[in-house]
Amino acid sequence: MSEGSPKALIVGAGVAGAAAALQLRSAGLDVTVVEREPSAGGQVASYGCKATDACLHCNVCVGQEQIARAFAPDSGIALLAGTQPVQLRPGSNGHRHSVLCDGPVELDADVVLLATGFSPYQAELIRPYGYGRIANVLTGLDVEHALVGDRTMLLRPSDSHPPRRVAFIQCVGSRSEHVHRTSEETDYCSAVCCPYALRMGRLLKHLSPETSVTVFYMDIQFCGRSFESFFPDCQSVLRFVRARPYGIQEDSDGAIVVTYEDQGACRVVHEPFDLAILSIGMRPPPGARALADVFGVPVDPYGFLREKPDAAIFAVGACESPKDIASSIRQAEAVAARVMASMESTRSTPSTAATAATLEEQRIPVCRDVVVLGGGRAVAETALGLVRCGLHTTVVCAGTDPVADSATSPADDVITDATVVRCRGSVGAFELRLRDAGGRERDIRAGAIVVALTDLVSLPFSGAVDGTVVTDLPGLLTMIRTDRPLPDRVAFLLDATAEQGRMTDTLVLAATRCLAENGVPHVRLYCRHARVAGPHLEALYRSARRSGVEVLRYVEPPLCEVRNCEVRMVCDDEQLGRTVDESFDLLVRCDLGVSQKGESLFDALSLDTPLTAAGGTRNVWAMPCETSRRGVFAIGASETDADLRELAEETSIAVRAIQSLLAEPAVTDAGDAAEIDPEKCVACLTCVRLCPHEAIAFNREKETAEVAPLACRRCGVCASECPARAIQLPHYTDQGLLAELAEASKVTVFACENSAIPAAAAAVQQGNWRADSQLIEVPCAGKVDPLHILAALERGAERVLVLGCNPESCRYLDGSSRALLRISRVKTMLRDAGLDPSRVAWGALIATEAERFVRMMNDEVMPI
Amino acid sequence: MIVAERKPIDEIKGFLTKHDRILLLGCGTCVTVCNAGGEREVGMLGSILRLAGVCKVVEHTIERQCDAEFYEDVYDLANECDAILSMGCGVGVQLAARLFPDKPVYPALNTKFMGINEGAGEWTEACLACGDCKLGIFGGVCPVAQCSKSLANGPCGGSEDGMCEADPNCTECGWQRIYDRLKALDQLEVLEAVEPPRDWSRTHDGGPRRITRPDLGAEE
Repeated sequence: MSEGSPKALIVGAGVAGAAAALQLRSAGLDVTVVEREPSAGGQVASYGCKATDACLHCNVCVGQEQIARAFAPDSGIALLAGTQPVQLRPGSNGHRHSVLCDGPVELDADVVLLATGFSPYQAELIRPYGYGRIANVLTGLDVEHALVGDRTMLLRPSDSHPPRRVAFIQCVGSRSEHVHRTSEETDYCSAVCCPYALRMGRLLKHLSPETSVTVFYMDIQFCGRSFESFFPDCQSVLRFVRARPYGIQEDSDGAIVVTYEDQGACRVVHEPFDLAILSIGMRPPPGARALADVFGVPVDPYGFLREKPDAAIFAVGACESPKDIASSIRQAEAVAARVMASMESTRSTPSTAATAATLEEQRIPVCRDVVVLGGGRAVAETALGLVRCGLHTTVVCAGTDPVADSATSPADDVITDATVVRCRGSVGAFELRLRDAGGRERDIRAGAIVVALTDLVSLPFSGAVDGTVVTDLPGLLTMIRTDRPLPDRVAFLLDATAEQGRMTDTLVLAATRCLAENGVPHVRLYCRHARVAGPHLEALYRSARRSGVEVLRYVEPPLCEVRNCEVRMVCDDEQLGRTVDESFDLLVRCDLGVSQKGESLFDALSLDTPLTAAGGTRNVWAMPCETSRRGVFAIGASETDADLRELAEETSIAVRAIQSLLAEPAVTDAGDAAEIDPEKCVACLTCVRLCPHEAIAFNREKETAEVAPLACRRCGVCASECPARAIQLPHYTDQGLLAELAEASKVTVFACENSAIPAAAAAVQQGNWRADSQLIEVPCAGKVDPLHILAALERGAERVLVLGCNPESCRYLDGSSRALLRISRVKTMLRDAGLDPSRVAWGALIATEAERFVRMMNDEVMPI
Repeated sequence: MIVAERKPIDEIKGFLTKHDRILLLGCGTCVTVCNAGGEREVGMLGSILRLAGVCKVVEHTIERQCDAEFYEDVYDLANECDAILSMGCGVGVQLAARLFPDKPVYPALNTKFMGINEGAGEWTEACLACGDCKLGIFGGVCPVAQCSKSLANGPCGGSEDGMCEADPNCTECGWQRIYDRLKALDQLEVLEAVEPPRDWSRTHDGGPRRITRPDLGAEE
């Protein structure tokens, strides 16, 4: 990089450090990462994939990809391993800081990001659980390490047999004060343990259906954005016991016995298991206080690092507070966006793939207007961010939104009472059709679109209709704000209509505490789970309890009867073991959800992965704010589980991405998008319908389907399904691929470049490669053409394998799933023709599963 | 669009046992659009037949098999083969047979219906080519194609919850749909008139049909 580039120093080469490095590098900064360990990767490098027959959204592959990309030899990011910073000095050479590291080496820096990760809680500190003494007691981290490289069934350390009865114990080292006489302050929720334990439990059940898996828990936290569909699936295969076991002991016959209290039955239970897994939480990283001293940043009461923005020193990832991989990446990207905005760095490289010299680049003009749709505070904040970048911004609301009102809005234009009917075009050239309340339609053009559905509305509860004694959360908040007198007995009802996340819980806990502290004698919260997986939420929960708020956890929602200015609530309390029948003067129903208009908006925009309150999976490769359609960004997709900081992070990321996208009046395209031959196109609409990115449209004048180069993701899924074979993907043409199919390769492997190719490379490095096989690289399993599979068989292959990413974690959304369907059809045709269908097989893996790759090559694991 | 689907491979193999080298002929129009007999499907079937050792297969796809001019390239290829396996609809198979009277011509597809493409991979029958279209009377829903009994004065009374008694899980009652459409158009009185018996001579029941247009040069 040139001398004048601003310099970034990142401390820590884990997932957060990698994500920040990639963002800052792409903005033109000179990036150096120092890492304490001898190699990059942090904790995530040694985690394993948890997919069963479909992705479970653990994000491990995503985290590992960020690390691999950031620290690849040609990334342009400098890595100094085995090095730690020791002193911060005022900068010279025109830079803000000078950081002395052991080595010794002195590094200039204009911005410093601390990304030193976390320390896993030391489970041996809780002596009653026997970790370190009892062989068959493991931690979640031990399980991660056992799963990396291949997803095989866990074995008992004592005898290497698969366990028949597995127990997960939650909240080990989290949400506790000095319960187990540890000196560490751990009264916070680590947020990652419920998600990882439930996914591990699902995987173990998938690998060994006869094994029983029990989860001992207090409250189940949200496990990502697909929680509404994920959790019922967990409940159908895992056994949940609401208890915090006291201890674990070894039995004389090798079993381990978990002791816990069955509260409802008022008895102590000693239950035998074969294996216990302690879901350990996250502690501040090693050397946190020393690092804080070096950089002069504050630490929070638990020892996590804080930022010092005046000095351009920031903390990202788990070292800032416990968080999962996706949140670490989001926070890192958001901080990078803030840094770049403050540097007014307008250098950006519009992202198109690197090309061979033979293809023609083209400059494609883009519309530089932006449309922001939705409601709530994020709409205004996003509009403000965009306007500050000099982009003409129009806000469109379905109703009237006080925050977006034209008089006070930062946007250039505000259109109210308008719904989106459809969205044609593609990034740089969207055409939105709007319809107003009177039915009149108009079109507006935009280069990028932001959907910010942050105006959560109260969800109705069929069990109790609003009236004088039943209100909703906004109603109660109004009563508090306007100093209305409050009655003596107030009940809050949560989770009755839809599971509520941290956002709602924060409001509810604050409201209940407020009432209790202001003299309301009887305040009770009825809920399924207390959602406390965020900074200070556990503390808020405890302080609400201390002020006298009662929390009743139900399985079935209470029966509510409104009569004589009272609400009678009848509910089974499994902790008390009896039915609780009490009356209140006021019932506050607290469930929130995305307004109905949200769901239809995603349809109108032809977006994949519905992000409605009903759930639906969210592809892990959608980086923060991305949707299935390039140029359309989404904020607030976590709905009730978002927190305000997350919304602010998403806003920064979306604004920065759009600024980068629309920096110039034209975007350079590498010229390697899929190409449709108009002569061969029969206008069957197959490709138009199947492109997951909405990158293909039918051009009526030219009477052919056409690919929008800026929207095309180069996955090739269209090329392998066109019935007229009219589509070619440059670099992966039919001619080229068929030429690669050599004669007499016993095993031909079509390998996805995102998963199978890196796994194969690692396998080769380990010395595991079959000379009688051949690897053919494709950008996505969805590019694999059934005709090429058959051609391979005709040219002498005994077996043809197609190896790609797990369905639902395909980078191109449904490439893997389509590959599976096509392979099933090929196998059926083979069988119908009297040939052996097992000669063609499909396998799913992630980039770090070298062992799994080898087993697939040797035909030891081929699920389909 | 004409919609067809591939015959079971067993049946196709059965046609070819006596042949050494065949021409697998695809069609680039209707059967390409319905993913049954275009260039891709020709490639799939060709590979499968070769892998199964059935016979040698030469593959070629022409623009349409229902116009003789498009067969120009086919003559040379056909000369080197002892049979033609057509992946066109029944029309294509017959024209091919007419153009190659000395070659056996086999159908690789079953031609099913003229239908609507409901979305990727799904087609539903819409028209039976009765030759005397009364869609204008019945609100755009065809009593011949959409009613399992092709009643002209339905309903038969056997439907339940709008589903046909012949196939309650999958088939909607055509006459329920006619009723719903006429109601939406405020034309229910149409159903009070008795529809006279259809002149089936205009349908295939009167023999193979022919259309001529003198203004386009055809002789009556």
